Amino acid sequence: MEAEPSIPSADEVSELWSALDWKVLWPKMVSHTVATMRRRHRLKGSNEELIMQARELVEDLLNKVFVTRKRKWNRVHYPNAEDFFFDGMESQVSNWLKKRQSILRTTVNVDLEETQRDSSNPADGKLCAEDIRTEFVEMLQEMKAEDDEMLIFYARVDEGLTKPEDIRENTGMTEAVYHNAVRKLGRKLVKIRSKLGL
Amino acid sequence: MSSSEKDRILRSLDELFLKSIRESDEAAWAYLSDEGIDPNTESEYGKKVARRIAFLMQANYQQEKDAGLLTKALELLRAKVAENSERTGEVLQQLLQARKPQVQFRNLSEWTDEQVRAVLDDVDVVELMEALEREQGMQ
Repeated sequence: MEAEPSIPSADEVSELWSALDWKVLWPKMVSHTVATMRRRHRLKGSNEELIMQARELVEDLLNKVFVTRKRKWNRVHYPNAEDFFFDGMESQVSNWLKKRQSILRTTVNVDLEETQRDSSNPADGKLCAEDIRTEFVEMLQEMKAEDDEMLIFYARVDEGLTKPEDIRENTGMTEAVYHNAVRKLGRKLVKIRSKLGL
Repeated sequence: MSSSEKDRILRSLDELFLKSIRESDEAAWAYLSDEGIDPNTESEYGKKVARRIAFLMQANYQQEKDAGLLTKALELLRAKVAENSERTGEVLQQLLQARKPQVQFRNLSEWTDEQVRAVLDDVDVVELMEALEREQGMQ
């Protein structure tokens, strides 16, 4: 049974605002929003288009949380306010796409619900057939993927691990090494997608 | 079939990429750079937005506070009118003398909330509440 929600008062919301470092959090939220548009929803607009849209969506969310307080932060569900913001941004992007499907969308008939189902799929078994796995391994090796990148790939594809902390524990990587490797792997994924025409 | 399987692998790895940006400031800033966006420019832009939001937040907070105060004043006034309509009218008249000397506060108990609110718009509600409380102390 889920605990009773804990909704902060106007004063507490104001305190939260003051406690956050916006010159760090703002770029992080914009970055995550652009990445969600590109990586999850496969948008191919120009950087300028996406950044303008991302800024608008982030500011809209902040307005809803801090000014009108229509979007309420449940502290029981989100002990860390940043998680609340990032989940909020993901739904901002989905809602915006539903409204404006025809404008920036380039992938034909991608079902948003399907996308989200895939992304939240715990997938605790192997993700794919052996021949496809081998094809991916070969492509990554051709692109000179480093050991840490390959370990992340194996942890996800072979072990079915979805949580970064589980992958770090499984592979023995520090946070810094992990994030660096994910970043490099992320760049290779763009090339693989392009090569496969996906 | 294999195409959708490949897509699923790519999506699942992309989700790790998104989680990495959520977790790490450095990863988030690095991604902006990869996309050709200057993180420092974005940070400066964020500071401007933060100032704008802070201003709106303060304005909204003040508006809500004023509305709450007005409601309290209305309730207090209603209670005082019920106790002593004539004396309450005098208190209001004193406070409004300079601004609305022509207004007569008779039959206050028959005024609608809208009529009372219209009068309260012209009064310093905190001053009015203090005056009404003082009246109560004197009685």
